[in-house]
Amino acid sequence: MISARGSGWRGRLIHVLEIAFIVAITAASLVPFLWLVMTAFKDRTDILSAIPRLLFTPTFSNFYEAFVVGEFDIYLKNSLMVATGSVMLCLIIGLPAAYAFSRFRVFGEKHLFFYVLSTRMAPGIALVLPLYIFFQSLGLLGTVWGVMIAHTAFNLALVIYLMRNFFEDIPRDLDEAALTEGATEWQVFSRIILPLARPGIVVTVVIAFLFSWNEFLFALMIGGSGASTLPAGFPGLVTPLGTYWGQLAAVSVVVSIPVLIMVWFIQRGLTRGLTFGAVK
Amino acid sequence: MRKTAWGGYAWLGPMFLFLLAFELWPFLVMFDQSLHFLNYTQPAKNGQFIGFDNYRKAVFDDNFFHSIRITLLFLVVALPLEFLLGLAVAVLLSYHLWLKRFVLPLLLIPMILAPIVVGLTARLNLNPDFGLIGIFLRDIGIATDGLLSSGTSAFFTIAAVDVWQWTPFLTMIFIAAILGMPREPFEAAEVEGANRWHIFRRITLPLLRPIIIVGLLLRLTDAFKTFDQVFIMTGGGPGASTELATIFAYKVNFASWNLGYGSAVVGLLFFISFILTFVLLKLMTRFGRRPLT
Repeated sequence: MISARGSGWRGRLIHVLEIAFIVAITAASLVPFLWLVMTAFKDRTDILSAIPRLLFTPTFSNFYEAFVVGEFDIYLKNSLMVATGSVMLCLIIGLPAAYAFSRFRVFGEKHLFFYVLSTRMAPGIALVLPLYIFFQSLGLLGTVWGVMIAHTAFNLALVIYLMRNFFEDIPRDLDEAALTEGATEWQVFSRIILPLARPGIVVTVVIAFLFSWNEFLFALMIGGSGASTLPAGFPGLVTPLGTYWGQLAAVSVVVSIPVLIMVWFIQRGLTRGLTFGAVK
Repeated sequence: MRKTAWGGYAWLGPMFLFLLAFELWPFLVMFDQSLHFLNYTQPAKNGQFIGFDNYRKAVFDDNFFHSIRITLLFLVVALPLEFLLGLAVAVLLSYHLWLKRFVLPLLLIPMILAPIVVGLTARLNLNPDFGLIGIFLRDIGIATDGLLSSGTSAFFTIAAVDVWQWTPFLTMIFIAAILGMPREPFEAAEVEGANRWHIFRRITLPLLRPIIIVGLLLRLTDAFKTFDQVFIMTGGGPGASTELATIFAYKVNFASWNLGYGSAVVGLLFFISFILTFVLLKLMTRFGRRPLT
């Protein structure tokens, strides 16, 4: 692109100021979170100290309190089950649908994008209330299955749309050729399309996992106390008697670190995934 | 496109079943509920069919109206800031590309965090007794009781937290778009000796316009959904100063258990987001890269 062009001391000053601005913004996005991570490893006195403590003796007691003494080990298991299960459901239902939308002339194709957007754009509360009422009559409230289905309901549209988008990148000549050789649609789908779309599937899986793993309201209302996930466990640590900052921070670390690592690997696909392919 | 019409529908079968069972049907059940009286405080009247009374009540409910106004103000304060900051960082990064590799992954952290973690991070940092930012503000004499303790400052704080969380999203898509631009116009301008400001105004900004529109519209609809962060930071308070429409709808349903009325409120929110989505789709197909090719 364009390089900084100014010459002389003024140009150099602007150059330095620009870099300083970028570094300052980066620090601003990072420092509050680092403070939270540090809090997770502090004991009570260090957390509540009126002078911010950068140097302290790290302790794992908050993790012990939350995950061994408390119930967050169960919530962690629920979180893993819900996120994995809903991603799998999304793939089982969504991959064939995406294939159909990409390769066949089916009705509803034009409305797909509208459907995707309307389930992504509707506020969580607008999606959770219908399911809450429905699950109440089915007895699915307070079960991992209920939360899993709820997360599938809001992720499915995104998975279908993204995968259709990735399937479109695969030239049609490939499957046309295989079909004239006598392959069945299923063979084309499973032997040609899916292997070629693997990078796209990885991006889609990570994004769907991320949304499910981070989700709060569905897990709180539908999971309730019976199938609470990690995020849904947060309000339980904000009690009238006080806020358990240490444990909250420890749980936050456990919630955040795995997805930060996963997302780091798919950085390039992230832009495309989060803008429905509008920006590649 | 293959013409085998009926074969195609078999592939869509599971999707249709799922949509019918878990999206369309629950929605109809909720719509039905919105036409009935249902409130656990008055069990005697429960189940009575009252037509569109709940909707009429919602439209004239001052609290609902207030929450819609708070939501609009929230959008009006947060979005322009996110746009300006996001654009500034993206353009500056494009001048210093060697920084991008280190800076961008770090910048993305706030938007990858669970919204509930974002809210908690803000609450912890802003605490006037032991939070990093809270102590600093108290020491210089601003907000000695913490930013979340008074209505006005709490409102601007939730907007600021949204800026903190989502500016990186705009930076991310703007830098991707800038780097994907054709090089010729830039080279031609440089040969003619145009300065950076001119290049930005005359070339970068016009080429970026479709992406700016897409990005802002996605932010608009996403910000409309904001719930978790505000729920854990203020719960809508103090008073009702941060009570977004989503928080209001939550309270009516799951705090007052006024489910009949609550269904109507949620129905209206659904309607608003439906219209927003429709507008978004129209504008995206018009200005953006076509979503369906």
